[in-house]
Amino acid sequence: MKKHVVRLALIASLLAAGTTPGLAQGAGPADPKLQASWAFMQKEMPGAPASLLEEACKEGRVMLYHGTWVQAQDAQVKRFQERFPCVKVEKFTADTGQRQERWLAEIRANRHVADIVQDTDPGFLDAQAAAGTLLDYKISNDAAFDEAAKRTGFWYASRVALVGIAWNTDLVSEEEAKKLLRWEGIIDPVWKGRAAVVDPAAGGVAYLPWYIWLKQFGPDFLQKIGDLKPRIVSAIVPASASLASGDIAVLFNASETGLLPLLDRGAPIRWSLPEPGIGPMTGQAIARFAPHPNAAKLFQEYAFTEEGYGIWQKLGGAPARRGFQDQRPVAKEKWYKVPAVFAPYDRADASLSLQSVMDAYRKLVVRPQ
Amino acid sequence: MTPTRAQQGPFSADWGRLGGFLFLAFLLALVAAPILYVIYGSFRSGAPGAADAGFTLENWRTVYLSAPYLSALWNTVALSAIVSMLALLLGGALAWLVGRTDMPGRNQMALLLVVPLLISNLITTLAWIALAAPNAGFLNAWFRSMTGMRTLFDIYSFQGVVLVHVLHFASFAYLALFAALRSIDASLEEASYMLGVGPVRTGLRMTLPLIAPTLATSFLIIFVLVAENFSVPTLLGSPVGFHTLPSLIYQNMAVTPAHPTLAAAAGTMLLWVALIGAAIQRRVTRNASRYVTVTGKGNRFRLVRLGRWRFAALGFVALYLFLAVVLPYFALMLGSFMSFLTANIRPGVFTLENYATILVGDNLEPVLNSLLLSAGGGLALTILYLGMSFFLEQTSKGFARLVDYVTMLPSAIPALILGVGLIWTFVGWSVPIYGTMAILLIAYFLRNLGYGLRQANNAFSQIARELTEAARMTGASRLRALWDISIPLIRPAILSLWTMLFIFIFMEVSATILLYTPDTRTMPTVLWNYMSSGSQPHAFAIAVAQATLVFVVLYLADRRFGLLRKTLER
Repeated sequence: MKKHVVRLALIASLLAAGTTPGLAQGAGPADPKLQASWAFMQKEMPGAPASLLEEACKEGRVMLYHGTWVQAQDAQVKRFQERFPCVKVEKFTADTGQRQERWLAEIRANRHVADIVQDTDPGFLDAQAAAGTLLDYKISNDAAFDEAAKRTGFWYASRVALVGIAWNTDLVSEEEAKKLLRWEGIIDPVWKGRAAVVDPAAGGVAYLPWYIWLKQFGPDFLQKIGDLKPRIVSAIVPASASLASGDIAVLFNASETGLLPLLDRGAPIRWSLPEPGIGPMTGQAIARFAPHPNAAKLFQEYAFTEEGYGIWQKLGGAPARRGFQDQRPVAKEKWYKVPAVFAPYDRADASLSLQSVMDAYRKLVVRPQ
Repeated sequence: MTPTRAQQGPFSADWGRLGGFLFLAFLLALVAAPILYVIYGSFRSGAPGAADAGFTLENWRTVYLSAPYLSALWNTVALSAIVSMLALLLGGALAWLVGRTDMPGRNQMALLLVVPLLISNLITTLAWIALAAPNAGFLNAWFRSMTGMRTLFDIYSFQGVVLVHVLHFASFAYLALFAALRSIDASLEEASYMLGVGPVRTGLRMTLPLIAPTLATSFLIIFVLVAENFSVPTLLGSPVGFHTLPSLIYQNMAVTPAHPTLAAAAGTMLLWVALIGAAIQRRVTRNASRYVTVTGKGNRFRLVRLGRWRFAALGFVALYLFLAVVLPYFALMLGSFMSFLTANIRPGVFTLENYATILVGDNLEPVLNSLLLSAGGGLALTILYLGMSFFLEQTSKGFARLVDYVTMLPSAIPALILGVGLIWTFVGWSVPIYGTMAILLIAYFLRNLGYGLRQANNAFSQIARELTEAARMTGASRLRALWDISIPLIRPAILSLWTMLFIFIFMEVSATILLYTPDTRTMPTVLWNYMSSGSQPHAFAIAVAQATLVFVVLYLADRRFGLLRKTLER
């Protein structure tokens, strides 16, 4: 009888734990210095145990391999360290290809440095999950992400890097700009000699629109882009800078990543995000052999809380978290509209089609001189 | 008599020579390892060590048999040859005017002509885009407002690529040629003049052959540095369809997933270019003793009187400084105070925020790291290159020739690929190199090896052998002769090498960006990350701070030790 009572009490407490976040995470940490951190965890990371905090603090540091969205990352890291002063965040920043190669080389050599890795290519993260280099850790806010914005346990999307058509408002009239609300508008002859495109060889956000255009509209669309003799720019950032300075009037495959900092500083630019929307996710994952696994889990948890996500998203890009209020000032602009429908695409196929897309681009857009 | 180098094998003499050989062997292994890794990687379907990667010839087939790569190779060679030639002509003219004529203001100009080297190629390119972008460059906008015509100069062109390179490397050529022109034994030219030969014929028949080794070495170094540069052709050439090998390599590393093995195969093409260049340079400089100019005697040379052309010469030098320093610096300064770059200048676009952002405590560590690596690392590399050169002198000709070729290779491989090669090599080592400052120093050692060793060789080759032989005959050991005779004589050359390495290391970013850690961030990595994040004005602010800092350090060193003057007067 006594045994049954104990068992029932245990089940009752487990059930209660399932509904009450505070109890779900067990007793709080013994160290009084961790109480503030623990209170935050109870509020924003339902289900994360106190032991995670204690173990993370014992590890004391976490290494983040992140992309070149320095301001967004710095802001998030700063707040994380205020919330969890016992964990020091270290960062390595580089462009995607270089960051990938360094991380993979370290894995191959069994020298594990990175705890958290970010990538603008979800296909790459999927491949790494399949290869066993990512840790399977389901965050407590997992349910807040749709299937397209995560691979449960392995990676979660920090943002959608939206691609659109951007123009300089000093050089393009409002009447002309109406043509740019649809993808088909970019092949209008009015843009001849005034437009630029980012070379798909720049990868990531610059590449995806070429892949989708070819699938959606066929080679003729690329041919017509080529007829406009657009200036070819080697990367997103200089292309955005050229647009802001007025050196080019229109940028056909513009990324919000490059445009937002310029808009915030008052550059005379606008952009449309035509449907079907194009926007690869930027994902974040924990390395399977992270040298600081608990600190990494804690950071991963924090990055996808309302607070952590909001801080990053405000500077980093459109939210990928379901129902999340876009924190960016641009979201309040009347002209700004996020597409309701996105172009479906197979992430693996997009990676595999790189060469054929490049071939079509060179033949139809660049054209041998 | 001291035995000649030809009579000595690498193992043939004393312990000192054996130690020297081991020292050289160690350094050569350091050079060879990442290069071999790159070559090995170019024959793999995936990066070395990847589980599913195997042997393949596909990368080589793609690179060596496909039109885009062959065309890029041709573009690379043509661009490098044109730039090297023009930079030497311009740098030579500047060096002659400042170093060997009575041009007014030559002492002041002598120092100012070093300034173009204090701004990295990448930043100079961005500054020139701000100046001469066809529709919105500051210069073109000004020209349009003055004349109503559309464009004064379009920087997005082959000419633009050449202009940016030549303005930068002319300063490099100037430094080398100034020193060479000033170190020529004056009695030779005096004899020529006394025989009634005019200055032009004397210059062509005597001066030019005397500085031929410096010309050949400078040509090779500039050629290789232009060939491996990716930022200038990628930013300025790609928009008009002009691609070089480094711009294709950059693309292979930028796409996702990256293609490092294909990039490695493309990198091997530049190795052949460097080897051929090194062979030509060796041919030109094979009789180094013909160019001995530092003897036991003093050296006074006659300044050429320019007469009524004095001020025209000053105007020519000032024009170069205007194009290479004033204009880009103006663009950088202006841009660093703007919210975003625009030719539509109005009060609202100016801000101090860029400087406020970079002058935070967090950015102090990269400044200190840069200073430490440049000053301390530069000194360490100077000693290494001099040591290599000294020990090479003791080895057989065949071994020296091998080393001469091998040491050119790391400078020829684009830094992006060299960085990958270094990771592949050192990431698995248990010796604490990877993730420390040591790997950055190794990268800098390799990047500057072609230049550093040749400069060290040039320094030693200019000392008359009889000076050290005299010391040997009085019983001094080789090391003693080196310390008592050679080092004091080449002290200016040592300071010159250290100064140049200080500048090069302070500016290096392409390899550093792949190898740094949070503890070893440098100023250029901070600059690069701002730029990649879309914040060019922040990057400009750092570039201004960086160039100013380097100049201040060099200026103070010059005041205290005469560093720049000795660099120029070596």
